[in-house]
Amino acid sequence: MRLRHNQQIKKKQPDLTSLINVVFLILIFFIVAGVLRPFNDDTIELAQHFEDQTGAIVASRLIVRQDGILRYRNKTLPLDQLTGALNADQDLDRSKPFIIVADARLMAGVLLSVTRAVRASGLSDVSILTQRQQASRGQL
Amino acid sequence: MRLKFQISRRQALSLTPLIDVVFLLLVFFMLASTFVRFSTVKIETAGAGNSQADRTKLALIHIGKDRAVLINGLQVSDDQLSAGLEKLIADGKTNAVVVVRKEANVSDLVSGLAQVRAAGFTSVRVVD
Repeated sequence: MRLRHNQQIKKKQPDLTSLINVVFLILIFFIVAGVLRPFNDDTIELAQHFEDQTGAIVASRLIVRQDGILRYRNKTLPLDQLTGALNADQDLDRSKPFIIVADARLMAGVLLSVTRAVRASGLSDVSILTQRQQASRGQL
Repeated sequence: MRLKFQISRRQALSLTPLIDVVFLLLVFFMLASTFVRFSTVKIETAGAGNSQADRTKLALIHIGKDRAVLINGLQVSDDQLSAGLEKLIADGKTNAVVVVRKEANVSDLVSGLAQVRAAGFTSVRVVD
């Protein structure tokens, strides 16, 4: 009788400590090894190049898709309105480099026109987001 | 007697809410994080005010389709590119003007720019 009673209690409350241990480990792995995605668009394929140095990547809000469609703060807008939209943006930190997310298959001329429109709003430090390639291991 | 029962109840701490929260965090980080290594390439377009740059220091580099690079109008193969760029630097041509051809895409531009910058030009300007 006593044995049965004990067994019943054990079955009701399984020991969750090991489960928590594993889940915590996986959580810490993702926090440490992963980087939060700096932009929000699944269609974008970034250009790749070899580089050793790393820099802090800030979240970017200007996205140019493969077909030249321009999205700023999740809103599609024509190129001639971009300078005005950047000028009107109060939250934009002008002391930091401005990063454009452009698809690798986009025509370079379109990217240059976008860059000129960004610079017309007074932002002088303009960069394009790329994907780093490692010579030894290839793309991770 | 009753008091004692309450004490024994306290000892069995419920871990369910903790696991709930940890699972939520785990799912968030799994979905939001990426393992791509990001970098940036600076793009400086030619603008007004650069007309007084020393013309003898200018090197003209064209970027075309499929990562083709032309130095002074001559197509350079991949393995000769870094040598060609170093020769330009040795000749005192430290300001690179990168001309992007119409058919080149962003991928061509980025790989070309990265190589030109790695060669050690003091200024790299992009025109189309």
